[in-house]
Amino acid sequence: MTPLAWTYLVYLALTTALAIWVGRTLRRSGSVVLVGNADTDPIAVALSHLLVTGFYLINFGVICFLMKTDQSPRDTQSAIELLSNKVGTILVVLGAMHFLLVLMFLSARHQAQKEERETARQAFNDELRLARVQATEPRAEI
Amino acid sequence: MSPPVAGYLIYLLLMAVVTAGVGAVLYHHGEPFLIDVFAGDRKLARTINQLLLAGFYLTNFALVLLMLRTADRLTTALDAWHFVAERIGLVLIILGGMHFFNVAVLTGVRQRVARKTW
Repeated sequence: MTPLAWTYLVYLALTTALAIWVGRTLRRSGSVVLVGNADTDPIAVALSHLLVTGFYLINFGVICFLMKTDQSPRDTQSAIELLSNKVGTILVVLGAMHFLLVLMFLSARHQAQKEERETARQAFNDELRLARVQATEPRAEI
Repeated sequence: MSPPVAGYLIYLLLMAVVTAGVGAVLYHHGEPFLIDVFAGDRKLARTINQLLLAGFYLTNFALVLLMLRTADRLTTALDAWHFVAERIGLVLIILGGMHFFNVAVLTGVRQRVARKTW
């Protein structure tokens, strides 16, 4: 095998492993960020799975898309330099996508909490209204 | 087998497998999300899920077929390898973008359903 073939193989193995590791971390902590209890809320699990699937699609896409190189490394040194350059680029993309996913998780959590507060406020207002109606009604039946 | 034929075949086969796999994952994990989006209406959620899956397959195969053409001459195995990698990468990136767009749209629908303005 030529040095270029070795570079491609090691590049694919390394970047795939890294992407899967980041994806698993995101999915695990994603369901926790979304609700706090990943076991009981199927919607949080589903949403984090959906977002992480998008993460995998984009990352594997970038890994394949940026693989091509015009250089042809002749010895080990140039192969290692090329490999490091390629893996570094993918790491930058992975980092950016990671922050994007964290932002998405946080905004989904924010939205869920806002809805929860709105529901609580609605329930409190209903209760208050009921109490007022009961207080002003003449108690004829007593 | 000549490099272009091998390249095209590998590209089509891989994309078919990836399409089926990603479609299955999205269908499976999309269902609870869609049930939540449509406020517990399971029947509507399943229908929308099936429609989304059909749309996903259609757009995906359209993209794959449209991107098959290349201006480069695929004379060596390395050319074919570069071609396959680049095209698969491009299709996956576009799919990922479309997927995030879908989730964002459905999240918007979910809020409107919750506010009863849908």
